[in-house]
Amino acid sequence: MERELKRNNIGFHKNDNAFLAVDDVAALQAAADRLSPQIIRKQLDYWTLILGPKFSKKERSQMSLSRFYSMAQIEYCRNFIFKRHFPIHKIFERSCEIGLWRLTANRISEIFGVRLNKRLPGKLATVIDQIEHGHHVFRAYWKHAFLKQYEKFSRFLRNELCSNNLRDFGMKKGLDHLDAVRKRFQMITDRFAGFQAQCLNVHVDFPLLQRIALPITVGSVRYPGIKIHDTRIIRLLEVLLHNGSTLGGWTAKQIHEAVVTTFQLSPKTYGLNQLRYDLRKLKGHGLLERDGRRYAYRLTTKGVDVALLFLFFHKRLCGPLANSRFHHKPDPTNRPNSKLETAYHKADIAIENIINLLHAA
Amino acid sequence: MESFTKLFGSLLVFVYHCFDRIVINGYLSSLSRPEQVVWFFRDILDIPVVSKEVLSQRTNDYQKWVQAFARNHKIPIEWAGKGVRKEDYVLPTLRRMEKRNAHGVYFIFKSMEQGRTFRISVPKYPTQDPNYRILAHQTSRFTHYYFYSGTRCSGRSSSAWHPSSPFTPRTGSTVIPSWSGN
Repeated sequence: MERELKRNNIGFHKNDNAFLAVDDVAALQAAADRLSPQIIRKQLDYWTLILGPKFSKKERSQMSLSRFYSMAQIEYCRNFIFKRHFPIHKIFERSCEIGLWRLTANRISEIFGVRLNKRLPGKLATVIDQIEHGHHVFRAYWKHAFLKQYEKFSRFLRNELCSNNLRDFGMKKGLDHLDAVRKRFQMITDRFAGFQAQCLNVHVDFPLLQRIALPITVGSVRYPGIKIHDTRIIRLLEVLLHNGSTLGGWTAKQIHEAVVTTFQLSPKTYGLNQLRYDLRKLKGHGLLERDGRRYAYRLTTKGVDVALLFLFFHKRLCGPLANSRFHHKPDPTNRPNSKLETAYHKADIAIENIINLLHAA
Repeated sequence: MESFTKLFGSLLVFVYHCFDRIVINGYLSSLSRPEQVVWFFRDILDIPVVSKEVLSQRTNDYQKWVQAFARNHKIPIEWAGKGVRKEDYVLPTLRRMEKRNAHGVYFIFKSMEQGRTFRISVPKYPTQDPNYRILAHQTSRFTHYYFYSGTRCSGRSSSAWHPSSPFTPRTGSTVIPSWSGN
């Protein structure tokens, strides 16, 4: 394929055995589809003549030295190259976990296009292999073949079907049947991709807090990171979430007054310059914007999302659970009739159980 | 596939599908069965008794030819180390060949591997034909040669040959990574 692209002067970027970028995708696919039994046979006959065992003229004249070529192992792959801003490493890991549970024997048989019966030779299972640290391969075995899925370079996803015996698929192993194998394998990888699409469509953790905590440079200006445990930022975000600031924005003085009043601070504890420093940080991270040319500030859409996440984490998730764990645990028998309180108590029990299990281990 | 495109279409740069690896075995049809081997030695080479020595002679001839081929073309020939990925090991040699803008065989690996071959045994009881020998398939370990080659037209491939060929049912196998270039 690489040779074909070079011959046609088509630009591409390849890493190991993966094409990560190509100028003409149709040309790449055409080059892949051009691999035919005739091309392979020509090459095999050439190398057989050069490197194979030698026969004398007498031997050659009295017997046929033509070879029968058969496919002993064959791998067909379907490759998905994702955009650079959409790394799939974590999504892939999550999909492996889900696949391990959801890809049952019946589902594997459906993907391979056969009916499941009791006399199935070989394997029928799903496994996750760890090739190296942090690099996993998801495999679904069926008879002597397996489907595998792995991720590379954070944006390259490969679904691959490997067969060690084409009789499993009711196909002949002669080289002439390469096109039939290609069609059949395309159908199977197609079905597998359809299944995997659902597994990949999942929630994964996004390192928002780590990213915001890192300092960033915009042009020549460097903005410090925003720490989640910084009380000043939490107070400020809580005030900025007030609806009043969304209309025309609040000036620094108005925000300062709101913070000081809401949290009963003295202007010495939290001065206007300290607030301006915090506003600059938020603005640098794209969480805050000015109202036109006015020196009035309001949260951006991203800023609202981040503020809600920060406050939800502190006030509704981590804060209450930490309180019952380290400070005071409310009595569960006399709890108010509130869904949220019930959930907190459930979470308290779950955390207690985990800690007990860890102690026992 | 439709659901994949529907869910991730906007996040994909492109999709392609191809053969990743094909391992092809080559069989000499006229020498795959025991009776054909006997016919080859008796009728073509006029050797009445197909013995172990006769087959070993063919093996030795081929091994000598490989050694000479490597020596004449200055091709490194080594035993494959345990746990070493052959493709990675030969990569520097390939790069050197590419720099010279050359093509052909650039590395030969020797490896002890299991494969099917023929065994010869003398019949336990006398037969009408005193030259009759029992020739049957067996699985045993013997030296395989891996030839790594790069061609200008069709990219990279590796071929494994058995020294005892053609007197094994399988006489050679070739691995073609379809994505590979030079």
